[in-house]
Amino acid sequence: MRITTSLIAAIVFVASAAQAETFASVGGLDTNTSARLQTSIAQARARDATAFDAVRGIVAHADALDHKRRGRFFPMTAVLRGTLRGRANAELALLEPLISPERFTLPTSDSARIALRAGLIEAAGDAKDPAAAPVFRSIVASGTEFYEVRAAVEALGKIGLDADVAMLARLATTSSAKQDAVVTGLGMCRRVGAARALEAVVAQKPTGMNAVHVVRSLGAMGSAWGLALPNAAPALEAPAIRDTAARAALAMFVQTAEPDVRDAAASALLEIDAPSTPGAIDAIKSTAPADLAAALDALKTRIAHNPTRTRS
Amino acid sequence: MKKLFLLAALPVAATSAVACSSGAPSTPDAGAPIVDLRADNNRNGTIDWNDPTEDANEDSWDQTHGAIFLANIDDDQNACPKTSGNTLLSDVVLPQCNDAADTIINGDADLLDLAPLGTAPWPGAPDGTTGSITVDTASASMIHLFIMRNGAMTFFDWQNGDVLSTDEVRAGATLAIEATDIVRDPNVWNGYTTVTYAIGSVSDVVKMRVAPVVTRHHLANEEKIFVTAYSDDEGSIAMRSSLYSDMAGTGEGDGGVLDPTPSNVTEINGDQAYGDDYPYDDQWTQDFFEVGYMSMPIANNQQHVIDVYIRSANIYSTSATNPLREAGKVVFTLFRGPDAAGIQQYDTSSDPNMDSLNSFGNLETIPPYSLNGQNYPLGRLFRGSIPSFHPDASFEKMMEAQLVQPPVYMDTSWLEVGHVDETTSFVKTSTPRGWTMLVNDPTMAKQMLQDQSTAGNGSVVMFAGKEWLDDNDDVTPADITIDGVLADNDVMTQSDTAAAAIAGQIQTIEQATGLTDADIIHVPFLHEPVMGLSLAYQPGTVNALYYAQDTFAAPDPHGPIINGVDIFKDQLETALAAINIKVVWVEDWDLYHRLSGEVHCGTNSKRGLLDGEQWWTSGYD
Repeated sequence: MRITTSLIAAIVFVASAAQAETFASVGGLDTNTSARLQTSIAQARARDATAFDAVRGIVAHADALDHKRRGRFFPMTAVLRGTLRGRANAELALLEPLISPERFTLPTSDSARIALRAGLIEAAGDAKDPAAAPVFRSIVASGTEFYEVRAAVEALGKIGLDADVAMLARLATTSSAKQDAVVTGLGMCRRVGAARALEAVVAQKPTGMNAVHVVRSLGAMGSAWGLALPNAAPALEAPAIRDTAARAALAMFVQTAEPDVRDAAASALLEIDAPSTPGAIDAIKSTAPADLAAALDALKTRIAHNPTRTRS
Repeated sequence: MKKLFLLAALPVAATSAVACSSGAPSTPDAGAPIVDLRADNNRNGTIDWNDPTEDANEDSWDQTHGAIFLANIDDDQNACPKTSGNTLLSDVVLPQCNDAADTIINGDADLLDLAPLGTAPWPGAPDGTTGSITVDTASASMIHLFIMRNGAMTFFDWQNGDVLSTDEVRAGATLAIEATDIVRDPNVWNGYTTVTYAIGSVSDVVKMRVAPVVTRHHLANEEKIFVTAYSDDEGSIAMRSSLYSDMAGTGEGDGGVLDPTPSNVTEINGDQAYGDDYPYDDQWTQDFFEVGYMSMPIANNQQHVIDVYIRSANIYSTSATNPLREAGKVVFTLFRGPDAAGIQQYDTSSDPNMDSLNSFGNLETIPPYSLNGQNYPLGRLFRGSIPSFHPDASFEKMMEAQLVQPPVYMDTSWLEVGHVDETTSFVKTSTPRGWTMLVNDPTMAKQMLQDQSTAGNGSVVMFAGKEWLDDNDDVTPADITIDGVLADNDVMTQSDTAAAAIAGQIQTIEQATGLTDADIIHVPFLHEPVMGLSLAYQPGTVNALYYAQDTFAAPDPHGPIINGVDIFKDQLETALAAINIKVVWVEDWDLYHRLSGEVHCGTNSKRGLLDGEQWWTSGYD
């Protein structure tokens, strides 16, 4: 199928039963929650269908858009965020295809389906609405696709309810098929419990991309730019989140023998830019072997000239 | 279909005989065999029988001497089929055709792709004397030899007993050599061959090297620009309109009217149909092919160049016959021809999660430099690749096996697309190095926006007049205020991530090249998260087409207009004006930016060679 952007509106896809199977409704959603969300969606659509129509159009063209992708996936999240920004009922409109996919013309390709589902979850998660948390919980519990689970973890983490943080912390620190997805999505959960969970993951000494994912999540969680914004984290927790993230990233920097992982840990430390890090480096360096001490010296120099700092 | 050629076409000048492999001319002696095989060991494009440099150390090869030959994989007679019925031929069939796929000379032009060899006459050879010409076992399957017989160059089938006759030994033979392919895996063939001429127990050996595939860099002049064109797509028209009007010097296009296509622009027709298939419907023109070259010396200090159009190793299908990104077929269907080869190299077992790294926005070339006594006269390959996240290993092996452009790898795994062209570019300067790097700087972007907010301009919008995708005929404006951007935690956090990761990229490049922070030109734009990965939030203005040595065609940033000036345009124009480069702005929002790419991603180029560029003197043997 060939689509150019100006022709997208002219394209109509026909959903088949097979397509519906590949884009299943969120599993495990309890009946009451499902009914409540369906009612909310119906009422919201009756008030203003604009957001719902916009989502419907994008869902219908997911295959065509995917055909135009450049990277690993079509940037569905960016398109959904951009298109839905400021529209009434955006969150419900984004949840509808996940809850009731049978109402939509669904993508057929795997890459389009993955990008769409993850994009819907990520964009819906922007609202940080506790009312949507059951959907995300169900996806975390029953999902099997990496990006989908990662997005649901991120959405739950942004909401940041205590019970969810505890549940995500357990999943992050427990070896399972979805552990890496949970760790990868936990970076936007700016709660101390989540930070400590990632620190515990570091202590498990992951390697390769698993290790990279941990330190990237630590970087995002402790991001100086992110934490500086109002309501990025509970005010009383923010300093501890930053310190914990920095301590864990430094621990990874020290313990890994993999250059790629060490580089990623260094990037996370630049991103976090915690005031405590130079002192922590000195403390470790005092007993470190020569090669590690040299690496720590270089790291300290980089942090001293941290290029992520702006003038206030 | 294929014809033989005349003796005069081969630049061999056998004027007198030379004693076997001694390097010293002597008078033919009927009593002693004259067994002298010559190739263009001194790299002047001819075979010189009276020049001792042609014979000296001919059994070895380094940057000072040694003969060169080409993989004759172009299609000089445009004879290779492209279609079967109303479909393009498959990924399996298309690469099978080229001038080295057969053992005949495909026209006079084809002969020019062969390197000369010759044997010195031994007029006194006794009756019944024969001479063998053989190739070492390791390279035998990669080599074709030809011999002049009855006024025509014909296949010399030495593996099936073909030898030089007594008359040929006495008169001296005119030969030629081609490789049937480039080096792909040095464990299979390292690109060298030794050709041996033997009479009885006396022999002479010449060592030759097949030309590597060399990629071009930004210091070389642009010869041709490629862009995929859609006749009725507003985004395509807007991009081409602004680019072409910039190139014509008529000002920025309005997106509605196309200037004539510049003479050096080749449009790939994205609308072209083969039945129900639209193989070239792929606007990421940068990604599905790369243009390199291979060359050998010819007379008058010139070199014979075959352009090499390299197909990306993107695996898009589980089809056994058509697994690759379809648009990449252009290397065979549109570009292969006289002195233009098409190649592909891929492994269908490559990790699909890393496939984006196989696109050629992730294959650039750092311009030439020297560092700590090591010279890189052809520059260095530049790719995003780390041990845990890398492009197709068989393709990387092939590119590394060319030897002459040792790669620099950096971490792009944090980017959603994962290409080096998302954060870096190279431009010419008048400094001793001759070039510098442009690099994305999210911190600078944030600082610029913070400064405007502090100055009371936080309500000024960015992306004014731009729209997001929607099919409801409702305009979905992309407008957002400066303060809105600065308050977006996703954008700020991801931009922080990007700033730190780019610092790591800079460190990698500085260590590899000797560039310093003072050398680098910073290009501000922010990032946003997509599926946990990083993507340019603002049009990525480093991702530009450097289409002339003084012109950088960047995506229009649609930044905030303060006092009538787009502050992001102003920043880049000022920064590049300092090195005498003009910025022209290309409208790429619709078809490129909002779909994860920019101007560089949507274009491609073929560049020439630098004055004096000779890969064989690079020192990488």
